[in-house]
Amino acid sequence: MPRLPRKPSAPRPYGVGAVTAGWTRRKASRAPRVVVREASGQPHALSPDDPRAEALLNAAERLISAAQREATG
Amino acid sequence: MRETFTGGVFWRADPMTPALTPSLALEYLHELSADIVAGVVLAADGALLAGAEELAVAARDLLAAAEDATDVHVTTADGAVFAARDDRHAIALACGRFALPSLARYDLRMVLADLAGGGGSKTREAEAAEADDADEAAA
Repeated sequence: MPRLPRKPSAPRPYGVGAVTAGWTRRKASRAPRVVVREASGQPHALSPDDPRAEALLNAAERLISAAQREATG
Repeated sequence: MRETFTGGVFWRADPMTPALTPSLALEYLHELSADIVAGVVLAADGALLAGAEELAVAARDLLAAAEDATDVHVTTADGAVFAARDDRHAIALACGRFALPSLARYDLRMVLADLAGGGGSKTREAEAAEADDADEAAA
């Protein structure tokens, strides 16, 4: 039975495009992210500009610093 | 701890603890995940039940900033923070950047449920003392 031609997939980045795409992905993965869940259990990602997200990020950074100090000291 | 083998049944002399205590809860969470750097258990009013006071200060600020949220997950460049609370307790954990959010959330929820199971914020001795006081008052 003859094989059917493969369905073409989306074009992959190559060359400089591939490097840029990888850099963008890594940058996105390192970006701060805040997700909260209300009593209903629905996750809700807060925008980085949200003042609530800023307060949560500040508190989280202090918590991580304190935890690292406790772990090393 | 004393164990006796009696015809195929192991009998343990010490009764099981009625619920997880806050300090045991932290140790349990540490054993569940190697990504956890440190954690803290707070009462509903913010009182420290287990963990370091320095962590508790930041955890209280985090929970205050979370407003009505019951679960919080914050990822920063240095690590991740997971926090969950119910009517009686709140737990905040500082983890490495690659901790899995779904697992951390599940573990936190399970431990919170165990803590709520039988007065986890009190020690067995405190409960026994309260029971004695109530008996004396009734008599």
